[in-house]
Amino acid sequence: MKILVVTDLYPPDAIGGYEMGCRQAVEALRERGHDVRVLTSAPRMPVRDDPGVVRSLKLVDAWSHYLYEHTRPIVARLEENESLRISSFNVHALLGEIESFQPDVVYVWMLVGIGGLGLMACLHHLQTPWVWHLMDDVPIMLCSSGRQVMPELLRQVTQQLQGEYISCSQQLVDEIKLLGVDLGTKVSVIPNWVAGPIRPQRRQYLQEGKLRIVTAAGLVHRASDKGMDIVVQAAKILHDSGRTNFSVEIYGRDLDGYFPRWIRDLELEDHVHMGGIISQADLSDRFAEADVFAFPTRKREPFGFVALEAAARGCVPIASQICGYAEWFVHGLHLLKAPRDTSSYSAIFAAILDGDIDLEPIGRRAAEVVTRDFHVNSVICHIEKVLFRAMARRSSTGGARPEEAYRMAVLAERLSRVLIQDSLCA
Amino acid sequence: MASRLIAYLTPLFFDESSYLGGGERYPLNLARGVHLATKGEYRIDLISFGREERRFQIAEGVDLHVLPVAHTPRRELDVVSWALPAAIAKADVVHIHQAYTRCAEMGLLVAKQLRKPVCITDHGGETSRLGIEIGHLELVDRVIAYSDFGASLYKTTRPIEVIKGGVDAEAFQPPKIRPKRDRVLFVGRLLPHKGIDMLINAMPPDILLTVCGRPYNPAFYEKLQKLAIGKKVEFVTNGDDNRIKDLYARAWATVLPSVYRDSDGNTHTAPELMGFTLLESMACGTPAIASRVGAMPEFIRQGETGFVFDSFEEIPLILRSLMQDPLLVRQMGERGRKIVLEEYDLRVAGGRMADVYARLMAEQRRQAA
Repeated sequence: MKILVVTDLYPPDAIGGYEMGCRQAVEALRERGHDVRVLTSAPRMPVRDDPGVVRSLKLVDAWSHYLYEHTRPIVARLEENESLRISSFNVHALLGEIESFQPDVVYVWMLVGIGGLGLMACLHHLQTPWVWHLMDDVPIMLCSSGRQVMPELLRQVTQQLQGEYISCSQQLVDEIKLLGVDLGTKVSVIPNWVAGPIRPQRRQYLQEGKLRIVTAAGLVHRASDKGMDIVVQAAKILHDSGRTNFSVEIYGRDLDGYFPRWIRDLELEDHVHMGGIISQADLSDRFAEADVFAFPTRKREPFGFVALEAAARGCVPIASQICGYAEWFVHGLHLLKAPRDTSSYSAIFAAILDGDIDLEPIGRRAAEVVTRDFHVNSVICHIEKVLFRAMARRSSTGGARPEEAYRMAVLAERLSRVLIQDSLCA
Repeated sequence: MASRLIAYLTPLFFDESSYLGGGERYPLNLARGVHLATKGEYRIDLISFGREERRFQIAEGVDLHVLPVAHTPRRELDVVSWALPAAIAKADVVHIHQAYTRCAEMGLLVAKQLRKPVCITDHGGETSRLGIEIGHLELVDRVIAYSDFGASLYKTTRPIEVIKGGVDAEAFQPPKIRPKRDRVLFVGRLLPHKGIDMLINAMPPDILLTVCGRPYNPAFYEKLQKLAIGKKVEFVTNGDDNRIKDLYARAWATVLPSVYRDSDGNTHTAPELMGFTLLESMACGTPAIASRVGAMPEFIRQGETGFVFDSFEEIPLILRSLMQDPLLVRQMGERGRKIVLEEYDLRVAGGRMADVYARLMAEQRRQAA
C-alpha cells in the first residue's frame, strides 16, 4: 500500500505522544512493506533530512506561549483560522504530494497548526480515501474558536467528512460525540502502544521497604491538567501521616519554577524531586527502577503513551478512573485505578506501603499484556486493516480536479480572512 | 408532483422594503418559469437573507427561504449565513444570482463542497472582487447570461448559456379595452445610469413623459425634478404592478435611455444586461425604445417592435413618428407581444433553464455512475 501520512509535526520536532506515536506507526508500516511518505511542517528548529519525510507544510506555531502572549487579538483570530481552518499553501502542498506520490490512502494524524479542516475538505473533495487517527478531539479543535465550538461548522464536518477514523479509546469517541461529532460506525477503537525492543522483566518491588513513585508529563505546570499537583499533595498527606519511606520523581519541563518552590514550602524536598526533561530511553529506565507510575491525569486524557511505557517495564500505573488508558485494563489485575483526587491517591500509596496491595503480580501481568498485545508490532495489524478498508472504498469515479480543490482552498482562505475582519471590525 | 429541487441563492430580500431591480425580478420570474415550464416537476427554493429565518411560498412552486445573516455586512449584497449549507443540502442544483458578491463567493464554496452542480448569473451588482481575483467562475458548471452582451462580459473558460427573457407575459398583457395613448413612458429605478435626465432634456415640451420608478438617489431625483420644470413630465414613485400596467397601456412607447457614461461623469460598463421593462412594455403591446447600450438592442427589432437610438437628438423624431401614426404603434405593439410570447416569456425562458438543469443533473449522474 502507498500511504501518505499527514501530520502537523513529526519527530524530532514534536510536542508529545501524538507525534511520537505517528513516527512509530510509520516505521511499523514500513517494516510491513508499505511505501509510506510523511507530509509534515517545516520544523521549528533545524533537523536532519529524513528519507520519506517531506517537511513542506507551513506551521502556525500554536504552542509558543511567548508568541501567543505577544499577538494582537485580530492577528490571533487570523492565525487561528490558518492554524485550524484553512491554509491554501498547505492544500497546495498536499495536492502536490498526492499528485507525485499517488497514495492509495491518506493516513491523517494531528492537524492543528496546518489548517487541518481545509486539508480534510480537500481530501473530501478529491474523494481520496483517508483514515484519521485520533488521539485527541482534533475534529472538535478544528471547529472551535477560542474555547467555543462552532456548531454549524461541526455539523457540516460530521455530515460531509466520510472516511475511516481510528480512536485510541472509547472515551475519546464518546467525548467527541458529546461535543457534536458522531463518528458512528466509521470508527475503530485501537489502543496506543509501546515500541522498541522488549526489555527483560524484573523483579522486586518496595526494595528496602521504600515506595518509589514516578510521574511524568511534557509540561510540569500548575495550569496543566496532568495532575502533578495531585501527586505532590498526596505525598504531603503521606508524609504528614508519618510515612516517610517513599520517594516521588517528577519528570517534565518546568515552565516557571512553581513546583520546586511549592515542594520546598511543603517541606517535601527529601521525598519529592523534580527530575527535569529526560530522554524517552532514560525515562524507560527510571520506570524499571520505580514501583508505581502515578497517572492522575485529566478527565479527557484520551489515552497517554507514557502509562503503557511504564507498565511495559513493570512499573504499575495508578491511573485516574476517568482517563482513556484505564478503559483498556482491569483494576487490580493490570493497574490500579483511583478517583482523580489527592486523598484517593494518598490512600493507594499508603495501602501499598502497608502491604494491603501486592504490586508484583499486577506489575508482572501488566508487563506481559502490554508487551504482547499493546506492542506496536501487534497493534499495527489492526491499523493496517483499517487502512486497507479505506483503500477499498476508493471511489471509482474519482473526485474533483486538483486545480478545482486548490481554487476552492484559496477562495475559502480569502473569504474567511475577510469575514473574520469584517466581524471583528464591524 | 415536484421531483427536482433547485436552490436559487440571491442576496437581496424580496419584500417591499427591498431594493428591487431586474436583478431581483429575474430570479423570481425565472423560478416561476422553471416550475411552470416543467409542469411542476421542478420546485425552486429562493434563498435570501434577513434578520430571522422564515419560509413561505412566494409563488406557485417557489418558496422564499430567508436565512438569518451571520452579521450585518457593510454592503447588503455581502450577506452570508451559517444556515446556508443546511438550506441547500437537499438541492439538486444550486443557481447563484449576483455573481460578484460575498454572498455568491460563500454560496459557491458551500455548494461545491456539497458537490452540487452550480450555475451562476451576474445581474450587474459588484460588491466583492475577491472571487474575481482568483477566477471563481472557473468553479461553476454553467454560467447563465440573459443576453449575448451579458455573456460577452464573463471572463471564464466555463460554458456559458444565454437564456434571454423571463418576463411574465400573462401578467403583463395588453388591456382588453385600451385607454387612449397619450404619453411616453419610462419605467425603472431612478438612478443616473438610466439616463433619465438626458431623456427629460431631449423631450419635446409638448409631449407628456411619465417617469415611473423609485428614487434611490435623492440628489439625482431633485435634479430630475428641476430638469422637468417647463416640460410635461410627471413622476410616479410608488406605482405598483397594476399602475405600471395601466401606464404601459396609455403609452405610445416605453423608453429606456440608459447610458455608459452618466451626466455626473461616471462610467458604467454594463448599464443594462437585458432591460426588463422593455420586455414588459412589449408584452403589453407597447413599442420599446432604447439607447444602443448594453444588451437592449438584442431585444428590439428596429422599426418592427420599436426603435434603438444612438443619440438623444433622435428622440423627438422617433416619438413624433409614433404619435402621428397610431397604426404603426398598434402594429409594433402586436409584433412585440408576439415575439415576447415566443421568445421571452418566463415560461419559455424557464423551459430553457430547466433543460440546462436537467443536463447538469445528467452529467452528475454520469460522473457518479
